[in-house]
Amino acid sequence: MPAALRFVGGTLELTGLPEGQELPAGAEWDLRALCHRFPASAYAPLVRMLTRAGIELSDTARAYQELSLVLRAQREPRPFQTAAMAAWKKQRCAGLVVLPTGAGKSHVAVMAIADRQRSALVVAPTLDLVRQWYDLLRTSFATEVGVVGGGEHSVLPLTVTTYDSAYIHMERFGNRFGLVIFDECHHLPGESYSLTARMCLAPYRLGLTATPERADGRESVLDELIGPVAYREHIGDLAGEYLADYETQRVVIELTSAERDEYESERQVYLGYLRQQGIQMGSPRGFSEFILRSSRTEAGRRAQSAYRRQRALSFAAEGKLVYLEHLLDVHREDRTIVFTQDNATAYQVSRRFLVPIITHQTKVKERSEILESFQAGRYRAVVTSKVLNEGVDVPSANVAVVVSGSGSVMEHVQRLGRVLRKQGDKRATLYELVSARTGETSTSERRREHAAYKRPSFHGGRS
Amino acid sequence: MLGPDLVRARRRGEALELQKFPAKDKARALSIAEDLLALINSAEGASYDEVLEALGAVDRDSREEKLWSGLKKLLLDDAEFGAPAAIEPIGFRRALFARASAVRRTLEAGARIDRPALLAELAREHQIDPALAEDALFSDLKGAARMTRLPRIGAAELVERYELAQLQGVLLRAVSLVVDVRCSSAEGYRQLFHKLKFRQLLYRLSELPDGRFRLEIDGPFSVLEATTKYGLQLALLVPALYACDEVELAARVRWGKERKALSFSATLKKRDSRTLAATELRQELEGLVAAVAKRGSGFSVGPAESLLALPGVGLIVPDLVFRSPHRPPVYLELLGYWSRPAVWQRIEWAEADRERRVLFVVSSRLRVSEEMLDENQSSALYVFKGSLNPRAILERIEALATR
Repeated sequence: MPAALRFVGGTLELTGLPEGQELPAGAEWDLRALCHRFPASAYAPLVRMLTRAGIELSDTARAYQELSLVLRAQREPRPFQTAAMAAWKKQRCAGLVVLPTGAGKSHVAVMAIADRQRSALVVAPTLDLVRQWYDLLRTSFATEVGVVGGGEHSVLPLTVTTYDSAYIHMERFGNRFGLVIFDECHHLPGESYSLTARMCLAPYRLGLTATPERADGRESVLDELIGPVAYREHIGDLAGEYLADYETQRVVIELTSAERDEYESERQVYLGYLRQQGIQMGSPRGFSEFILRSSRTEAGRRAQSAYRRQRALSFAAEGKLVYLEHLLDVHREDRTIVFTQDNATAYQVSRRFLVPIITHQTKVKERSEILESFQAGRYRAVVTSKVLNEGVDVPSANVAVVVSGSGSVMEHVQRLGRVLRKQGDKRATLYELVSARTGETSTSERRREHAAYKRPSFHGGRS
Repeated sequence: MLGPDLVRARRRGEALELQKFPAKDKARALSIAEDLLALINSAEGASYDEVLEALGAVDRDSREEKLWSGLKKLLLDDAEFGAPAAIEPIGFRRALFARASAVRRTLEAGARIDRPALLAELAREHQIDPALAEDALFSDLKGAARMTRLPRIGAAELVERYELAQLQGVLLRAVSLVVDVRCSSAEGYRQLFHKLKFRQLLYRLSELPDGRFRLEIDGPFSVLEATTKYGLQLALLVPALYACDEVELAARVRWGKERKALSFSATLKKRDSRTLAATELRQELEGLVAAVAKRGSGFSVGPAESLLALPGVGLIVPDLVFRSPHRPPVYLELLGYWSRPAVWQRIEWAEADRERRVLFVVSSRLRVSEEMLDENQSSALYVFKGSLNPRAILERIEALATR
């Protein structure tokens, strides 16, 4: 009886070979089913080894198809896209391509799909990106495209899904794709999402990102999950020729005197509690320690509320909103994306200035309508909290206003990336509004620690 | 179900313990549940945010915050919320935002949109009362949804559901679960194994010296990497475990923000007092047992207490065991009108297990032949038409015992 290989729940079950059989690394003898078990991602090396060893194999694990996809329009790739493709193929079609936002990473993915001609799954972080990939693949290839996520579940040889849906469903459809593309793949090394890559059988793997580095340092896990970096270009190398030229402006805004009084008073309550409890917010566990302890007592809950209030005051200071209105006026003919740290501020901006809003609560159809209208010019501005941080492609957007944000360098670079897509001789501007003498000042310093912000820029002030 | 953040548990060394729920605390929980119900029942038609605010009025001290939050969550899960049908907010704001964008482009530099006038104008066009226009703008958001149906649960049931949800909340973070279980009927075991199969969980089965069975449960990937991926499936097993007569469980969990590896254990008291066996089948088996005793066949017959597991193939939960001196026991499983695939699974099992003797009793309605298992095998099929024939069954049991 030949050895048999089956795909079961994101794993490979190999039966017909005795316990102790020499097999590739990662195999475990499974007493529950009396078989050798592997992560599905071990498929390619396992089959290669069994073939080399002359072991006859009945393989029902692989369920992906060879395709005959035809590119509807042959677009001449940019030289760096061709180079990226060649480097990826040199690594047995497994690895990362790191390109700045707006440089055309998704075209590299289209090239990879056309080159490999295997069933392909694209995994993206948000429903907006899923919608965008769906449109791109449908217009690039003469075939229907499946979608899993956002209330849809259609699995086809070309399918697009979110990381969340992939985590849930990969154990069922992880054997149906020969190529998997992880868009914004810096999300993948998280404990849950990494399982998604291990439960997928695809021998060909492509990771796309502008910023592989993570705050937790787990980017090294990408080598195992996808493959090593095959090709990399930086923003500075492509700005001007392949990306829109840009400038960044940091505008420091004073709180009103009433806001300042309330800010200081709330901050004292919150800081007083930290001192009393001996909590160091700067330490790795500081914030979770604060949340944990403060939820237990009345004084703690007051400190939590003070913490939230002083943040809210700096996030949505009246001066910021007045300045934002000025920017919306100045850039009335441009396409402006307004970013906030929290939903409350985003809804406040939307209500006050009557600009459309996209948050996690916005349904896919409405998101699509808003982005289409924005691209077409019916809307000149859109406000969002975090869901447009990554990947969403609105080529005409040329102004970004960061009303508030986190200290994450990655988030700030991604927000800048939203307005860098090259279109004609467009020049992009990113405004960063910072409340003076608040916690935002140091947050702003932290997030600007990237080469993209080391260019000459304007630092304004307003009170 | 409650998430781990609403579980009242504490670490004790390397173990996680659910906080005890003595009668005094239970009475207090019941009182909070009654207050919550009184408040929510007077808030029909209120928005989700308004209901949340109303429920905040329940009198409680700081130690009861998590208890209140958990009860509130389960209560809200039992109610229904929806957007007001009369207003179509997406269309309204689409028109409003497009008009605002167009107006802004026509203004002189420095001039501002007359927001109230624009809002009132669009409200009139959409036949919305201008006074309600501000609320209508985002009336489809979760916080603005109106309560369309009050909860149907009572206070006592809410507290009971809360206790069960505490255990489920812990298991959501489980990487593996060990259950020592005893069921008084084959049907109890069958329901448990059916749930395991339905949830696509894997297990190792062993018999304990005291006659209970130990199930080590996790998922396919668990043998490769400890993962909480199967936590939800394990949590969803809890109702089936509560239907068993005796359950002691031990789990390995990853708890807290740091996902600290901890152990957790609990003893479950049976809650589901429903009769688990299908009455018709049980009556047939009782009739068979009585008929066998009456015939004086030399076999003693009684309920089977074994589970016949074959790793990689499957598990048989026999109903009866026939014993006679100096001969191996013969098990009987009554499949009755189950599906044909269940019969194919039994045949596969019998082909793999040449030791244990089982008579599979199948209705002729399933259109299978007794010849599918031949005389060289240790198990056999008996296909019956209408009702069970004790004589025919005893003949086959005799043949199996002497094979």
